[in-house]
Order: sequence, then C-alpha cells, then structure tokens
Amino acid sequence: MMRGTLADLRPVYVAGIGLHPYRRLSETPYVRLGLTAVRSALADAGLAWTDVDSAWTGTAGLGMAASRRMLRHLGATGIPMTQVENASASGSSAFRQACLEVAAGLADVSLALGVDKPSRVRAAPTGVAGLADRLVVPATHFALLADEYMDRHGVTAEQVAAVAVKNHRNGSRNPFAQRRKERTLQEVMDEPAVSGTLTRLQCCPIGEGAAAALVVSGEAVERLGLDPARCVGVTASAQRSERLYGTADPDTELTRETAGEAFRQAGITAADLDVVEVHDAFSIEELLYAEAIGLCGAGEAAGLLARGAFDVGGRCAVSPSGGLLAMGHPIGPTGVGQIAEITRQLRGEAGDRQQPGARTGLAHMLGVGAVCVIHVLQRLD
Amino acid sequence: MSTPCAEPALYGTGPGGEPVLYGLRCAACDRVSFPRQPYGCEACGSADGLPCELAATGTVRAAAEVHRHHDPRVPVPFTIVSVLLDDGPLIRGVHAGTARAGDRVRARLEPGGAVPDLLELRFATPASPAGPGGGA
Ligand SMILES: [Zn+2]
Repeated sequence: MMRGTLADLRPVYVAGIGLHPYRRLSETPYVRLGLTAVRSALADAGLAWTDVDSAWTGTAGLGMAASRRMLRHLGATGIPMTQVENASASGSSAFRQACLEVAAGLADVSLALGVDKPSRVRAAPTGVAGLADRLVVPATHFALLADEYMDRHGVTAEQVAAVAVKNHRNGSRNPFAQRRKERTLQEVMDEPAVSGTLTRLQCCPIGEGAAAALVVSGEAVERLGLDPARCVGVTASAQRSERLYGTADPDTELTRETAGEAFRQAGITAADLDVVEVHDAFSIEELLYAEAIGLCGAGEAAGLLARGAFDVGGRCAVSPSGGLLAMGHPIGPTGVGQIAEITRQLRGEAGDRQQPGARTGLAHMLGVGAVCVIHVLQRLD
Repeated sequence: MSTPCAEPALYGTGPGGEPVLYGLRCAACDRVSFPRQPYGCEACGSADGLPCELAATGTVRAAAEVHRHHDPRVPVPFTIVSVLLDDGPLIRGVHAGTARAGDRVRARLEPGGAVPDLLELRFATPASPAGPGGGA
C-alpha cells in the first residue's frame, strides 16, 4: 500500500483547463488536437509555455513518443515529458503524476494532457483466456452486470436507460461533447439492442479529442500572478488496483475502496460532494459507481436518478459534462476532461449546465485490468 | 482459422464422459480458480498450482443476449451467461438457449462450431433445446 498521500505534501491547484472537442475520427493529426487543448489551457490560466516545468501525456492508442513530437511546437524548452498508459484511466493517471510532482516540490507548474485518436488498441496478451473471452466484449460484460443489478434490486431496463437520457441532456449543453443531442427515454430504448438490455445510446462513443489541465503550486500562483479565485484545489489523489472480492463485481468494489481512500485524504464524506464525474462507459455503470462512491445505498441509485437527485440542480450532479456516454470516451483525454469539467463547475463557469453552489467535486475513472483513479477537487476560498 | 468461440484447451470429459472444466487448486492456500494458468495464485502469490477438474454445473447469476458482435464469423444472436459453478468460481460461457438468473445449468459438449469435429462447451438448462448436432 501507499505510505503517504497528497495531503502530506504541499497544496496543489488546477489553474488552467483546455479541450479540443471530442468527435468522430477525422484526418486531423493528434498534434493539432493536443496543441489546441494545451494552448487553450495556457490562455485560461494566464500562463506561458515557458512557465511549464514538466509534462505528462495520457494516451493509449497513439504509439510511442507522442509527447515531445507534439509539444515541441510550443517551443522546445527541454522540460521532462512522459507518456502515461493506464487503459481508460490513462489521462487520470497523467493528472495524478502532475499533481504528485508539483506537490512534492519538484515542479511548480506541470501539464497533464490527454490526447488520442481511435485505433486498434489491444490489451497486453497474457496467454490466459477464459471460456468466452473472445465473445464477451465490454458491452456484454456490462449487460451481464445490468441483468444482475436489475434482478437483485427490482429495477427495470428503462430505469437503467434513464442514465443515458440524463447524460445526453447534459452533453447537449457541452460544446466539447461528441454527442450533443437530447434524447428521450423512448429514443434511447428504441435504438438497436447491442447486448442484453443495453442499447446503442447506453454505450459510450469512442472518438478523438484532447484535454489539458495545468497543475500549479501555491508558490506559482503568487510568483506568476495567477488569479487565485480561478484556482481549484486538488485535495485527494487515490489510485488502486483490483484485489479479490469473491463473486462481487470487481470494478464496483475497487471503486468503493478507492473512493474511501480519497475521502480520507480530503477529509470529506460522500455527502459533501456537489458534482461527480464517473466512468459511465455504459449506463449501468453510473448506478453501480454512484452507490459504490456512497452517494446512496445499494439499489437506491435508480430511484434517486428518477427523482432528479443526480441532475444538474439536484442533490449531486452526476456526469454534468455528459459523461463518457455523451461527452465521449476518447481514452487518453477522458480522465483529464473530467478534471476540466469539475474545475469549470467549481469555478461557477459551467453556463447552462452549472450545478448551483458547487464547492466539492470528484472525478472517477477505471482502466481495464483493473485500476481505479479518483481525484477530489475543492474550492478553497 | 479456428472457430472464434471454442477454447478446447479449457475443458474435456470426466471419467463418466461428462464435461469438466480444467481448473487449478493452489497448493499453498487451496484457492480454486478457472481457467488454469501457469503463473501464480492471485490470492497468495504461490506458484504451486495443482491441476484439478471442476464440475461443469452451476447456477446462472446473469444472462445477456448478444445482438451485435464485431467479428463477422460469430453469428448473432447468442447468449452469454455468468455462472456460479458448484465448485466455486464465477465464470462466463455460452448458453445454448436462453437463460435467466437463478436457472440451474449443466454444460454439454456440442459439435456445430466453425471447426468440424471440435466440440464446443455450452451451458444449457435442462429444458433448453439441443443445439445443432444434438447434445453430448
Ligand atoms: Zn494461493
């Protein structure tokens, strides 16, 4: 286990965020996507590239050496640059590395960037396969979890699909989202079934995009004259990998453990959360993880969702960006994009998807394997 | 070209001709796992695994009818089940018909896959119809 936490080190803040819209695969090189996000984040923070001390790039599908071949076009300053691959959590782990480096005092300003284009990514071959591994694609894995959840808690397929309705509504208000069209429950249910009760709009789109976050120390805020009111504190960074949980769903149990560690670091509870972004690659996941994080008890998420508790304006806005389901899941950018959304929400700059009075947010990603990364961000004024 | 479904190295037949799954029992902590692998025990890290055979019977935990699959060699729809084996592990496999949580299932070995003479392991509930070529 880890012997120290972010809370043991000096405070760190997100000072700037920037995105390239998530969208279907285009001819645009990844370099253009990434630079768009970084330049936007620098402008947002009021920082120059020469102020940046290090760079971490989350990417799973670009191939080797993605960082410097892109970032040199901002000026070849010679700073350390590293790619981070942690499956779907690649961007979240890149952000964690930036936070740890600044918190440790090794850097004053660190760039966390996620950039990817769809490609034939494959997991490292272990030589061990189950009976049906070649048949059980992610949609089927989660269709089985949906079936189990509905059976155990007396929840209907429509109640699960309602996650997609909420997240498409949020995504329709997010100019960076890949899916920006509101959908009715009827529309979601009428889409072709992919696996079990999961229809196409209950499965996330995998496209291209980029997301950037600039992590700074308190010293950098003063030295570089940044606006403290637009700096959001990072008060927890937790990362764990799967243990054995008997016959319980491993992603859910891993999320529960990792969230517990994040709450201890930040000194908060789930009841303090105003905005949450979860790994909702499939609709059922949002219900499972809302419960695992502790927003409600087991089997309660579907009912609370139906009553609007997880809407923007509800008790805790879940996936206000549209989540993976509507904003999209370009892999490398996804975790950093969550940080951008939480930062926007805590600054009060989220426009017509703003959660009123948001002060505390949580970003949650899982990577196949499985790993889980959770960050807590807070307004500290 | 092998069939995209069968994993014939993972199962065989027991002394009475019944299908069995090739599992592993950890010599250090007794954990029973499936599939067999040569690397070490997830519970305790011991590299001493003893081959064992698991009864291919259990209870359906969840089921999903798959309507779309990226591999064109795999005909859709087909049914995937999570099965809690009577011998312990929770595994996933193909069901020959339709299934729902709580169903008792038993595996059978059936021809009819993409490779002639290769028997595929499919779970079936006692009432579900035999697949192409009949049950084992
Ligand atoms: Zn063991």
